[in-house]
Amino acid sequence: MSANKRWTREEAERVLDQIAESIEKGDAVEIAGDLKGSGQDVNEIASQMKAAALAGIKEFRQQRLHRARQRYQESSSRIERRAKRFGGSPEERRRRFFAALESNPGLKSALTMQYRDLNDLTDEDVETGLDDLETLGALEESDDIDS
Amino acid sequence: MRKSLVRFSRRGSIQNERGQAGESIVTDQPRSKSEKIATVDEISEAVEKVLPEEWVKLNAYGNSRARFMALYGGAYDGPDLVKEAIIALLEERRTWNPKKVNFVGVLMGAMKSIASNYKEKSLASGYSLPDSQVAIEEEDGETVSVIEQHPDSRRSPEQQVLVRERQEGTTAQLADIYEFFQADAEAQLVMDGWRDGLSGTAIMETLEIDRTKYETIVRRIRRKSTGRWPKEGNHVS
Repeated sequence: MSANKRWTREEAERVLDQIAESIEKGDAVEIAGDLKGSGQDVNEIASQMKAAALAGIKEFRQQRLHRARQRYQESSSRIERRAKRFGGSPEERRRRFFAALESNPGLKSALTMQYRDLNDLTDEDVETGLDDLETLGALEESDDIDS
Repeated sequence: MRKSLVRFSRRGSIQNERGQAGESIVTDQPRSKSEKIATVDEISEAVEKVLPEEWVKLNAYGNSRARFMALYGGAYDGPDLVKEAIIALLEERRTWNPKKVNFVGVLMGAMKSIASNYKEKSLASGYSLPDSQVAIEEEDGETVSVIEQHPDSRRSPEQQVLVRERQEGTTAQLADIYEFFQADAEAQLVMDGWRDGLSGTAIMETLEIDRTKYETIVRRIRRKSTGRWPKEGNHVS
C-alpha cells in the first residue's frame, strides 16, 4: 500500500471500523487515560455524554406526552363534532339513542350482546352508537316515528 | 513484509471472510421480542450508574462511529449518537435485558447499528440527514421533523457539497494519521491490512506475528490516533 495513495471511502471505513472495535474491546480507564494524555478534559467529556443520554430520555418522555396530548385532543374534537351533529345535552342524546334502539329491536339485541348492560354505556359509547345508527339509517327511521 | 501483505490482500476470499465476521459482531440483538426490554426507569437508573471513564469510552467509540457516518455525509458526534442510542432503546427499536447484558455494551451496539443504518439509508436514498439535525422547534417546545413534513429525499447541491466535504475531511484526517505513523512500520502495515479489508487473523499470518503482538500494535494505533483527531466541539464535520 503506497503511503501517498489517496484514501478511498471504503478504506477509511474499514480503518475506522477497526479502531472502533479496538475501543469497544479496550479498557475504559486506559482509554480515558489516553484522552487525558492527549490534553482532553475527560470530566467535561463525561458530563457532556451523560447530559446527552439524559436529554434522550427527556426527549422520549416529551414525545410520549405529545402523542398522549394529540390523542386526547383528537378524542375531544371527535366528541365535540358529534355533539354538534346530534345536538342537545348528553342526557338528550342518550334518550335519542335508546328511542332509536326501541324502534329497532334487532339492533338492541345486537348491542346488548356487545355491551351486556346498556345502562353502563358511557357518553362516548352513546356518541359512537349514534354514529353507527346514523350510518345504518336507523336514526332517521326512529326520528320519523317520533315525529 | 509489505509485499506479502499486498499480495495476500488480492485474495478475494479474505474480503468475504471479513464481511461475515463483521455481521456476527452485533451481540445485543434480541433473538425474539420476548427477550427484551427495559423500562424508562431502568434505563434512567442505568444512565446514573455509568462511570465517568465509561462515558469517556462511549464518547471515543461514538466519535469513531460518527466519523464513519461522516463518510456518508453525517454530522454526528459522540453525544449525538449516545442520545440517539438511548431513544432507540426507549422506543424499543433496540432491546436490552438489564439482567443479561452490560448497559455500556448495549449502547455501543446501538451506536454501531445507528451508524450502519445511516450508511444503508444514505446509499439507498442518496440523502439521509438525521431528523434530529433538521428538526424545527415549535412554540410549545415540541420538535417537528422537517423531513416528516417534506419527505423529499433528493440531495440539493448544497447538501452534496456538505456530504463531499465531510467525506473528504475524514479521509484526509485518516491520511494524516497514517503519515503520523511513518516511523512505526508495524502500525502502518497493520493499517495497510485494514485498508485492504484483511481480517486480524490474515494480518497476523501475513506479518508472522502472534495475537498479543497484533493487539499491542492495534492498541498503539488506537492510543496515538485518538489524540490526532481534531478536538470536536463536538460535531464531526
